[in-house]
Amino acid sequence: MGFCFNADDCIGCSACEIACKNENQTPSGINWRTVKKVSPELFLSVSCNHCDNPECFRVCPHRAFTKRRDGIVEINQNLCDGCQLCVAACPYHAPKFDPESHKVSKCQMCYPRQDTGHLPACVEACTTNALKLVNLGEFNNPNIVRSLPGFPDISITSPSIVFFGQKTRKRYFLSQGRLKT
Amino acid sequence: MERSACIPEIATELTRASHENITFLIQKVSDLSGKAVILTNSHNQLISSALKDPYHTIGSIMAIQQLEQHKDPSFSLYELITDSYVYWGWGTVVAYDNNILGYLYLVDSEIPIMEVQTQTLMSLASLLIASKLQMKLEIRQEKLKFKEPFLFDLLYGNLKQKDEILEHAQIWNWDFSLQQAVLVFALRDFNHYATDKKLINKLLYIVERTVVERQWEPITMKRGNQVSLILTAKKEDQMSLKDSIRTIAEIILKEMDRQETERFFSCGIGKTYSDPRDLFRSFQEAKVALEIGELLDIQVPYFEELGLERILYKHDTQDLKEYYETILGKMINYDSIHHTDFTETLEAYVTNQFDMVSTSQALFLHKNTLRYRLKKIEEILGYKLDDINNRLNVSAAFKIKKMRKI
Ligand code: SF4
Ligand code: SF4
Repeated sequence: MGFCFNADDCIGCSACEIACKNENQTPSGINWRTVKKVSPELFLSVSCNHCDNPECFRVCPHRAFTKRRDGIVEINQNLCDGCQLCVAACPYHAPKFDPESHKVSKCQMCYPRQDTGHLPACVEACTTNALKLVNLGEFNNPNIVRSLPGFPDISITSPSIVFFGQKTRKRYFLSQGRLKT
Repeated sequence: MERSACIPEIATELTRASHENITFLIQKVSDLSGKAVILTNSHNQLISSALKDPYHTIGSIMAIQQLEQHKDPSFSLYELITDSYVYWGWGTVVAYDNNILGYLYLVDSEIPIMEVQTQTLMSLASLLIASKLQMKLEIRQEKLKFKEPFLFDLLYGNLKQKDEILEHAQIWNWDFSLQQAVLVFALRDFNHYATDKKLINKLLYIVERTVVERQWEPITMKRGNQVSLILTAKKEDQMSLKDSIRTIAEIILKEMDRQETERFFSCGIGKTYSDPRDLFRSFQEAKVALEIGELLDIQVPYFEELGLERILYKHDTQDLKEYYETILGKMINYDSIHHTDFTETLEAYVTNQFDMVSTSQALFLHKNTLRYRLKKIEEILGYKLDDINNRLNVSAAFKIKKMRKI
């Protein structure tokens, strides 16, 4: 399973970010999903990408990470001692350190919801359907790309996310009461 | 009359014992018969034994010879040579649904006489043992189905208990108690078409064949465009695991190259760990090594040998570009204006470990010509090439170039 993000459809409303925070009740200042404006017309919504080759995972001295058979990369907070090596290793800044609990947490792709047949909170909340959940093993669309400008380097980790880039848009201007192209 | 009266008693006792494990059941047979009992599998390898002398154990069975057949053809007289003793006794087959699962022997230090009661006891015991062995076999076959998920869990760090891993691995006779490392092989430019999927199957076959030929257990996992292989150290092996890995990787790549000249296969090797709970690290390291190895044209890249390369690979591209410019920019400019090839000369010098003799040989240049050129290069660059820090900078800059970061 992985995310599919359509840059054209994202309007930067942050509904996904809020839904994630609400669902997972993360402490203040800790957002597992964030929406960023990377250029005047491009927003990116980024969380943990549940990478195929997770680097977070390799560096953790306490083996706190696991990758479930459906691809979800989980962190077991009980094993974490807050050394933050994973924070440095992840290119997408997905693991978030909480100075108060001195532990790291991150997006778990809402597996409790998924296990009961629901979509992740962020995907469900997306107002324009820009963020979707897809089965990357089967999903094949000639227009998808592996990365977008502004998205961190995908080499090595091979994140479970694909994108639809921005099409050059036709612009319409209202001029003297008439619609002109 | 007296004899037949005690049969139900034997039957009840044996059946009751069969609710316990096999060792217990064998012990019961021994108690009831007053003989030592040996149970083997269908290849005559020891499964369990109950000996009269509690201080005595059998390590393994060296040879079993059939001496004569009883008038009831389901029994024969045998000589059993074990690693410590020679026994004589009667044996019968343990079968379930016409499948031979093992052999049961009632033995002594001299040839025992076959009594009717012993015969009944053996027949009944072999039936009960057969159903127990069959059950075990079924569980084992069931577990075999779990090989893929087990390997997935092992390679993605989902198994946190060492004992659990060791025990589970024994189902397939894998020994993770010494040392192990992960190798990952991949097909470059993979697409999801059927032909490429077939190629991955071929790769898997070659990988497995190569390791089996060298008396290794083929512990493999296929996933996407990759085939991963776990190699475990063998107690008796003189060669270090690392060296064996290199040999095996080279053989596999060579074979794939020979069979599929049009396509490109690469590999990567993770570090060796003695705790199987760390295999997931080795797996991830192997994948990192694979990716960097492809870029730098290293045929068999070991993760632990990629130091600077790894740091550079992960580093911010813009930063690397600036660094490259600062170190080599002047010379590249000079080359493009004057149509010279000083960059090439310097790169060869770096590749040849800053050694004049081998560089001049590699470039087919006279040593004096090379010396002159290097002097000129130093002039253009504005720094000396015999300084260790400058050498480090130049090597790093060329690595950046090679990694297509520029
Ligand atoms: S996005 Fe970061 S935290 Fe998530 S799996 Fe990949 S490397 Fe690990
Ligand atoms: S911060 Fe926690 S999860 Fe991250 S590497 Fe350290 S111990 Fe592991």
